Amino acid sequence: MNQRDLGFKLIDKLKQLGADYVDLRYHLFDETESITTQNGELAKHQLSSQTGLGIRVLYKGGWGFSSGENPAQLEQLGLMALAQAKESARFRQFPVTLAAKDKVLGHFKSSPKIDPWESSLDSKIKRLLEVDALMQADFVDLRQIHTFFTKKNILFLDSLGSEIQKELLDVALSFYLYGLDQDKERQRRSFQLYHDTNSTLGLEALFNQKLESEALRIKNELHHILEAPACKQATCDVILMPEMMALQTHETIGHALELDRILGYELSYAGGSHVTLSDFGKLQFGSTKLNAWADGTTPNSPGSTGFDDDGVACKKMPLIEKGKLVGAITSSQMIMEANQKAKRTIFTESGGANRASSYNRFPIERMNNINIDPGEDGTLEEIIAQTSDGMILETPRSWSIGPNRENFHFATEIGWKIKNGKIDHVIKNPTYSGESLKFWHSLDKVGSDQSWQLQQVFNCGKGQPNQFMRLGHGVPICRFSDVEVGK
Amino acid sequence: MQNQSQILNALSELNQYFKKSGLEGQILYRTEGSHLVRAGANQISLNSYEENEKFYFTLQKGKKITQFNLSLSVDRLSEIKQAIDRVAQTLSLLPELPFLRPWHKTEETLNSIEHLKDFSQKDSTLTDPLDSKPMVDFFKTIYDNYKNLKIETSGMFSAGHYAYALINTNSQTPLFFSGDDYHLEAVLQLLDQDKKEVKVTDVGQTLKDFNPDHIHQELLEHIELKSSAPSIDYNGKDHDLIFGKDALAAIIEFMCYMSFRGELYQENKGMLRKETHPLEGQIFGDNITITDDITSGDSLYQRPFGLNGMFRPPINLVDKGVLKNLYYTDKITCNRLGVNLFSDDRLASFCLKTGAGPSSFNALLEATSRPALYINNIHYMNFTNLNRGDFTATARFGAYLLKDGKVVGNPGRVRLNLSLFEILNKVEWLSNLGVHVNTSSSYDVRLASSIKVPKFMKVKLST
Repeated sequence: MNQRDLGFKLIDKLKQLGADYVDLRYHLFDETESITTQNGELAKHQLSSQTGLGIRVLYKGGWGFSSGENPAQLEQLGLMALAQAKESARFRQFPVTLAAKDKVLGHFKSSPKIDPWESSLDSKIKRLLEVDALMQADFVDLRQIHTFFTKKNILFLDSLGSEIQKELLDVALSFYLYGLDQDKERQRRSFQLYHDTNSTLGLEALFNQKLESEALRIKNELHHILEAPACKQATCDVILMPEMMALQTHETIGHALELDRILGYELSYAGGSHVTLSDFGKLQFGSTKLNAWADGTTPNSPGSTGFDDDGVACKKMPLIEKGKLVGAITSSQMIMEANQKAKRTIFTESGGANRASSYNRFPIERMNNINIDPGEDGTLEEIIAQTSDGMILETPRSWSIGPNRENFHFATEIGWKIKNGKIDHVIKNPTYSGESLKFWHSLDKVGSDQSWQLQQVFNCGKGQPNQFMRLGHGVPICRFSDVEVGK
Repeated sequence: MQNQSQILNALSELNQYFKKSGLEGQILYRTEGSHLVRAGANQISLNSYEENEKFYFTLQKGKKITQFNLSLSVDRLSEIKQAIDRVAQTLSLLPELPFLRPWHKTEETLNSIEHLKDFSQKDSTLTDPLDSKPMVDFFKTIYDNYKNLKIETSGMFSAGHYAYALINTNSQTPLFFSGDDYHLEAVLQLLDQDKKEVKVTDVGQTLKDFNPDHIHQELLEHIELKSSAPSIDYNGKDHDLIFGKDALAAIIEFMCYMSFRGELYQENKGMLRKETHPLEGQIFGDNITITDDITSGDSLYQRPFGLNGMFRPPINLVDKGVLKNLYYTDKITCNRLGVNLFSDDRLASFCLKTGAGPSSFNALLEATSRPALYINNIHYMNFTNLNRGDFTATARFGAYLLKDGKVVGNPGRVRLNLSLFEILNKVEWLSNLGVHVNTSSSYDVRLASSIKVPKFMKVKLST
């Protein structure tokens, strides 16, 4: 009997023993290759491979979960999950109810032009060293390039008879340059690969000529940072470039709008949210220029997986429309509980955003692609020209967010001071901070289509036991007024 | 869970397979059986059991090297060997790393540890899947105890067993260690008191150490503190700072992670850098001593060797404020830097030594006349300027304003922007009571981690 048949057999058995719902995720193939170069040499080459399965059981409103690598233990793991679900059911105020869903027979596949698993290791290393050579300079004492490729083949089965296969591919790349500034402090300038939603997602990204220009750009920028003055305390306009805009969106929109967090399920670890159920449809989250989505369908993004781990098709769901809060990042379980607690129907369907990092983790609400619509305020140059006193900020260096996502503090790698509509000079050690809602209300310029970029994130941490999640942020360049910098 | 002899036999067989295939390298095996019960919104949100077996291979041929992780059960040796063969083929495609040195002999580690007593406490109930009823009951009891207070109960109770074993082709004898641990946190949100939050944590090696009465008592103390003083806005004036054990543990742990890794130090990427902080230099005040001593009770998890096979001697990292030692953990990086492997920071059990300060909150109050901000926990700490040790964080689960022997207010949102170099050079006193605090993360295979810190630490920042 193959794994599919064994899986359905176990599901049937658990249903006969009283389970209300069962699902099973097999990672049939799950490999990652990573390559790191340092100062013109290979520093590390690593492969990792894992196969295993995770079983969720719902029994009288309580969840149980177990996982392992040994297929021979399938039945034992299933029975354990059922036992745990029975224990969980003893302490529930709101028995878990899942939103109705249909049986799904589905398949999702990432679309590379070049599959990293079909390309030679030699060509990958050679390419990295080509790019590395461009970043050499007297003032650069450490340069690193890190790339990894992940490929997964996942089979999902559930007690409705759903059968979903997902073939996922990620390609990530980053450069880091370090140098000593005039105050003998170490500075860093880096670049993270981003993908084109109109193109393909594969190893071809490594051979894209834009990497050459990015390498030269960050080398040039590091040089400026090393001679730059430090950021002074002030209040001014702030223009966030895509890497920083992605993190701003991630921390103060994405995490704040995870429904399980709003309902208090992350309180002991990652924190809560300042958003409450009564805010939906009412709260003016930001300026009328803000339109945000939880979009599980953005092409060529790690946040797009076809179906979530509830077996629900991924969707594009509005979060904020003209600044007003209208939606959240949702799953089949949490929308039911939220509507019950709010005593009204806030959410009519699951947003398909329930995901686990691997077979050995229980799925929870995760960001898929939290995107902000481009606006009509033009290019970066046009926005700069309309700024009399401001700062452009790019690439996060540190981040710290309040427990309910209500305030934040960021440091970035580089800043550019704007005076009277022109870039005046580079700034080192820039920081900015604020109250989240006030900050989003100060959004006064949103860059047009050409400024929009899809940034990738592979290290979003949440949950107990801990899980890293892969996701995306499609964001334009944005300007915010009267922001505190330099603290 | 697999038994020790099965694991060791498998490692020996794979080691022979390496040699027969013309390979050098190391084979590390890690396994866990982990239970976790999670609570949120006054209910159990997750009750899980996970088993995991993982191999970490380093394969080398001449001066070419690669690393390979494989999640596969130890009794599937033929599949493991096939995977080794597949990965070994990539070696010929890699460039040479001329700096690679031979592998450390595990027999040398065994010689170093044979005189050491095994301090680890074992809990046989954690070796096999256990009944989660006591873990569920723990949260249910909290909810029942405080139902009349309009609270929301959250938390996490983790308990499990883990083991690691390794061998390399320069050795005949595999090394093996197994351990047990539990850790938990309970969080209450007081819904009709501005949603104030309290948090209590606990950690131990065996479930025999678990004392729910003690935890319930601590929760009650925090609730009384939170309820008795008015909510105030924190005005950010120059107050002294007093860190409670959980806040102090988080700060010291992160600081150690960014400071004492020799690889970061040599590449000038850490908070302490070769170019600016020489060994034997004074970096903190002379009341700061930080150790990692597997022979003393200051380490909850007394593991004698690391995941790199190196013996972990008792280490003084900082002695009376003077930088004494660093860890060197990763073989490839250390070979490249030309430094010797030394201990393994992944298994560190840091200890910030105690002083003569108060050991109870009441005694602390009596000793506090100047205004001081007491910080119970911190949230989302991050370095804003690593060169200067500057960091930011928010105070969570209890910040109290103390003055003239009393709690005079519960500040709401408090953001801290501080410098570690400043704090650790202005410590007025450290409590005379040391306490273990959990620092385990669960991102990879289970590996218990804790730090021992004074129950309180006062920093004089006021002028």
